[in-house]
Amino acid sequence: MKKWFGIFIFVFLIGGVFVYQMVTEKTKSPYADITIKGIIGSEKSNFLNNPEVKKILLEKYHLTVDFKTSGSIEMVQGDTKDQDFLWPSNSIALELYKTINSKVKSETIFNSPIVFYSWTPVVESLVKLGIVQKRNQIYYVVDMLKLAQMLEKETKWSEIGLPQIYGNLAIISTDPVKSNSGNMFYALLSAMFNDGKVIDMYSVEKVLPKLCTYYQSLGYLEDGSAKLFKQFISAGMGDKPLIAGYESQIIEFILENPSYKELISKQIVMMYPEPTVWSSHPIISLNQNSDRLILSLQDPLIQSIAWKKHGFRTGLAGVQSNPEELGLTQIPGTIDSTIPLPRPEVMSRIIEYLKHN
Amino acid sequence: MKRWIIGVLVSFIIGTFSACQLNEENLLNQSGAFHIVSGSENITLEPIIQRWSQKNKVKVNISYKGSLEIAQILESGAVSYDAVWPANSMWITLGDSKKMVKNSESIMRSPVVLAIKKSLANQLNWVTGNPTVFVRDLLENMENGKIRLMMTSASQSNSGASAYFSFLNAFAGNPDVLQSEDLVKPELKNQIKHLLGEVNRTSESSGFLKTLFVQKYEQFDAMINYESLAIEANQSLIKEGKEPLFLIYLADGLAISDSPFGYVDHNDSKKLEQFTSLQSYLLSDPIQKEILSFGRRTGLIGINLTEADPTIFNPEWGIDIKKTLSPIKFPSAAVIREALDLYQSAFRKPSFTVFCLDFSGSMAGEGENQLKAAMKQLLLQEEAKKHLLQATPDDVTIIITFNGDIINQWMVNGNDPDNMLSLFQKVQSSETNDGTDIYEPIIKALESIKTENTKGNNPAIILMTDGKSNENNFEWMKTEMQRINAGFVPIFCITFGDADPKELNEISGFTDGFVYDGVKDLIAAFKKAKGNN
Repeated sequence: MKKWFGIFIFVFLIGGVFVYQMVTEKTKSPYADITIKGIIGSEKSNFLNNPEVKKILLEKYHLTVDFKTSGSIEMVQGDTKDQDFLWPSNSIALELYKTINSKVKSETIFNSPIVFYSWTPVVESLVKLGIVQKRNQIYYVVDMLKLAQMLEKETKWSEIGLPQIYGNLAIISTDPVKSNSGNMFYALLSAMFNDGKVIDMYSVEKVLPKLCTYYQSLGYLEDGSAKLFKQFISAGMGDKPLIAGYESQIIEFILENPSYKELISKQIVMMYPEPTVWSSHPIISLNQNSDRLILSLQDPLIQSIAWKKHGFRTGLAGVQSNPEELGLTQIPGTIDSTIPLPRPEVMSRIIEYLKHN
Repeated sequence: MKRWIIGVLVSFIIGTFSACQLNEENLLNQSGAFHIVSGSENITLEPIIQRWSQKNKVKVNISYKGSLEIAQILESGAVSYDAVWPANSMWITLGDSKKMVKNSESIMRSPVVLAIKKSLANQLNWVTGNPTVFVRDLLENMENGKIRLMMTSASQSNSGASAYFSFLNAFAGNPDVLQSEDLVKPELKNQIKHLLGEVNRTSESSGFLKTLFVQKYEQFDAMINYESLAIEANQSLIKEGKEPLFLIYLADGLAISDSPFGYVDHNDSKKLEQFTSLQSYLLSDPIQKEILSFGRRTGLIGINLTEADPTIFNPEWGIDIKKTLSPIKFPSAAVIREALDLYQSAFRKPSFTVFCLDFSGSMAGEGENQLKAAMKQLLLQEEAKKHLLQATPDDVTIIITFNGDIINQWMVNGNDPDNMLSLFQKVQSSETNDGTDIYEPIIKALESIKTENTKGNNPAIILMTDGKSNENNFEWMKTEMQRINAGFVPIFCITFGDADPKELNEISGFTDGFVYDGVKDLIAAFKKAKGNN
């Protein structure tokens, strides 16, 4: 009998420990582990692949993110079956999505201005022409109208003292029909072709032929800003003398390759167009699962990694990103000269026109 | 007694050793092989990858294909590979409409150049004083017979496509970028067609072109290929005591290969881990230095090199590592597709292809079915178009069916889909029986080429068989070839059924052809055979 009693006590204890563990496990976190699937703009891949970010998402929010990349315009117009969220790079993509789908839940996570990247000899030429100016270590494109006119007039690189570069002066962007940074650059360019004023449904018709001529003169364009930036960096000045991209890209690149910091600052220059446009990176939630993703990405620790390691300015209201934290001198604290984006229907008109002409 | 102990010890050691080996093999199998599809320009770098494979105990299989073929594989959506490594990231963008490729990074860069025998470059005043050479200068010298050029097939390989687009640009009068309207201009069509007719031979891939150029050095003067492969060719030429090539960076005809290595997502976290490890290894400092020593440009920023071994990036060969390289603009995706379609259907040098189809008894069943299915893909033009294999209006197609004797011979001129359909129906209704003689149809094919090929189309023989010949032999074929004074015609053998490639290797080796497995990779085999046309 004693023996049976002993066994009973033993089983009871083991069972008790087991139940206790189950209960405490439950109370520790309100979440079960889930994997959520989504499509994102390529410029955010490194951020989501960052082990620190992955760890916080998993340990604190019990989230694993399985993503693929696509152009922002392409993703909101494409198949979203099997996806939990979309993360384009701008409000235009969000608005386009809203025109097809009612009741859309979204939240802006990051902000990043559109900038130009170029090589020292090109920038020196642009400074001589009075198009670019250096103020407090930072380069600004101060005469966007003149630059746009040069594009329109098909000025050759050789005419501005750069005979080593073949062909016409061009600011290469991603394909505006597919990808956000290209799309935003065309929003900016359309204002420049309209004497610096934001275009509306009336003025757009006047600038469309100019935009289209320029678009067609560029030929093949990449569909993602990360690919374009990588090619800019790796193939050199002769291949991509001047491109449009996000501010975050060079910051991320320098932070990832600290030993190249000096070489980069010697050869590559980031320029802020005056005015520029903001890219806002909203998450479009397709089901409840992504609500948790939105919550997790607003976590101050995640926002801090996004800025300090990947160069995304915070998208949270009332919070400012401090460039001193990056240890880089070429980044301004605030971007003062910006121009609003045209209304979504105007941007749709531009996309459709470029697609079909 | 002692001997007995030693014996046991030795057996024990051997046993342990074999067990270790077995374990290693098991590990390789357990982890599953990692499959890469790569441009052939990367063949030289395979030992670097295999070192990673051994260290990490992950078996790596690499298939080499032209970059445009890689784009087509991506486009089909049926991608069995774990990673792609084409020559140019543009082909990933164009092909990957299903967005399967991720985390792609450029491993190295190499410009596409005109590599020409130095003495000839000197004669043309292209060496001293760093002169600017344009595509039209090359074209003029091809026209007047001074340059006999080799390039790869533009519909299969990145370097060939780059050259093709720079030719089109030049003929269109160097517009800022080539437009669809330019392609329909009859003058441009005539010029490019004429020019491609002058190009002595097209290979399906850049690596093979380099090897062939070195082999056929006396018959050609120049090739369009990567700087890296021109360097490799020069290393071989110098070893053979021959004059090296001088590299010309055409001002309006330059392209840059950026060799992106990207992961194909099949939702397999283990494969992703392997990919990430292999990619970081390739981008690590020591490996990047090693890749540089193979004549590929490496480094994080720009294509210019701060320092490089002058015996590899040799200034005597025209290589200037500081020069700004300004490549051509490729047209929009739609125009690229249109131009490639035109290349295949109208511009390519017309072919004169004789198919020798084995209908002997040993082919009955599986082999026969495979052969008929293969011919369907090539002869039905709608099928062929899917793989850019369609015939052109000036192509000539002959089919010879055989067993121990010649059974039938049919010929179609041009690319009329109905004629091709009826040709296929004839193949479809053919039946297998009797013994096999693979040599007689070859001689018959050579005779037909000699008598029928009056327009000077590029000839090729494609022998489709299980390889089991029981009449005549290789020596007989060689004697017959001499007797009929057959010209140079490559023979490509595509094997079916339960094949024995021994004799086929002999035949294709003798005629600069290839032997392909028609079951594993039929389309690639046709492309290689036709691309060599």
